[in-house]
Amino acid sequence: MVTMSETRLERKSAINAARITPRVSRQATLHQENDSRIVIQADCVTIRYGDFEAVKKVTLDIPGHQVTAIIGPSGCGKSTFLRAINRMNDFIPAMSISGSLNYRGENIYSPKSDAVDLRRRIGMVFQKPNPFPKTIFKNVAWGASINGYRGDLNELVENALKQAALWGEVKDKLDQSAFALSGGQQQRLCIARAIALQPDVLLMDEPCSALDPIATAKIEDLIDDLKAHYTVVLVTHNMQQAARVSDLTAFMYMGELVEFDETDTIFTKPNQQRTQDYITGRFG
Amino acid sequence: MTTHFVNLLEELRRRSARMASLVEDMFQEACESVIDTNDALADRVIRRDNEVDSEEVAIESEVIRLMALYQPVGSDLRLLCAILKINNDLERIADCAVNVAERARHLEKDALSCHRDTITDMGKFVGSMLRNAVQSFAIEDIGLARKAFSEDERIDALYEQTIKKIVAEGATSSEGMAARLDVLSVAKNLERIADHATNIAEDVIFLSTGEIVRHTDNVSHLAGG
Repeated sequence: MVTMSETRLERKSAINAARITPRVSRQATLHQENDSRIVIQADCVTIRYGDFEAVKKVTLDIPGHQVTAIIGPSGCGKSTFLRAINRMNDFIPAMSISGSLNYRGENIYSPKSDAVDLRRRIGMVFQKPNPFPKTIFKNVAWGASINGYRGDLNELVENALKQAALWGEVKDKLDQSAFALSGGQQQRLCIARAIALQPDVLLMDEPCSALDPIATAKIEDLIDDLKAHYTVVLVTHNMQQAARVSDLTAFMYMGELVEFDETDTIFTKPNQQRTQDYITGRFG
Repeated sequence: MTTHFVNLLEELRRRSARMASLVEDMFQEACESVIDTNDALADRVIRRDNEVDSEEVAIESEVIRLMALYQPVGSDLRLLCAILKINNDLERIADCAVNVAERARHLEKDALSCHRDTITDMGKFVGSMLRNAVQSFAIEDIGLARKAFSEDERIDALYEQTIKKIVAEGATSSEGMAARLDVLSVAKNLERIADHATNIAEDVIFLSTGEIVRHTDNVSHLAGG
């Protein structure tokens, strides 16, 4: 069982609060102070595809308003675990899950749980930008519109695009097709689309793997800003990226959670030899 | 790519260990040049300093190159940081050895007579400490690094003893003051070498554990084992 001790979490939260205070509004700071507790709690989670165990007895707590990165070689189960958090794996018929996976104390896989509502609160950004074949405006407004949003859509779209650091680049062409944007802009548009639903958690599955270094840097800056408002869980192959943007890092290998600790510890003095070997490129 | 990087890292570690060995030789010869007032040996130490200086620059350049090209993490990052810091300490030890050798050239045959035992003892203890620190780096042995820590206090005590003796001599006679200052300078440089050896031992602890023990109580804890 790998969990972060309460003291370490408190210390990390305090460090983090000090680090981001200048950039967040007072409201966001207060929100954060009240909300640094555990948001996602996995206890002995095992996920199978038929007979194959993709995730094996994973236990970890993901705290609020932090960026938690999950790293590991291909096939280690990191994306499967991420997708389990907002039940994206439900679409795979042979998938089964055991153990307990909670979001703010509620069982994500309870029969009473509404998967659609869960996905509104736990948004997802995928590896490849996947904008809808619609205008930039409609891409961002779409989720809110179909969920019966009664507020000012223009304001909602503008705020979401601003939070996604895209407003300045698209404000004069909101009625143009989203496909006219560059890959990096399309990915930020997808982040704006997720944000527009005012989620609590943002799951990101390799969000920069299809982007060039400049677009990647913009997304990384954005992730750093987003944690003031959201809890971010990031799956990445890019270890430097995990080191740059995350507060906490979990290392998975062959379905097991090997180590979970503060990111600077994982990348300077990991406790487990397998983590050491992976981050230094000795295997994986 | 990784195998290539690991090979480059190992080559750099060996190169740094070779430089440490060269500096250790310079130190031994500098001590001998003082105790035996051997000008030829002193000249040899002074000449070898250029070799250490150019090696220091070459190693530092290689550390920067590897950091820029491979962005190391974990134990690889710690090794490069340790090499960079130890590199600096080794170069400073070589400078101190040169200072000792330069004093040796000034000293007259009998000037050291009543301080020979103290300087010999200091040289012996500093030599042992430096050997342990350098060896602890070469084989990444925390036990040897701890041993190096434990010798520092004894060297400080010998240095204090030398100062008191020289001050007392100065109070009774003003003759031979220049020679006494040379002896004091030798003692001071030996004490500085011990401090650099302590730094190297601290860097070996960091290399092995990731803990920075400088300026903390951990040093005394580690010294005690």
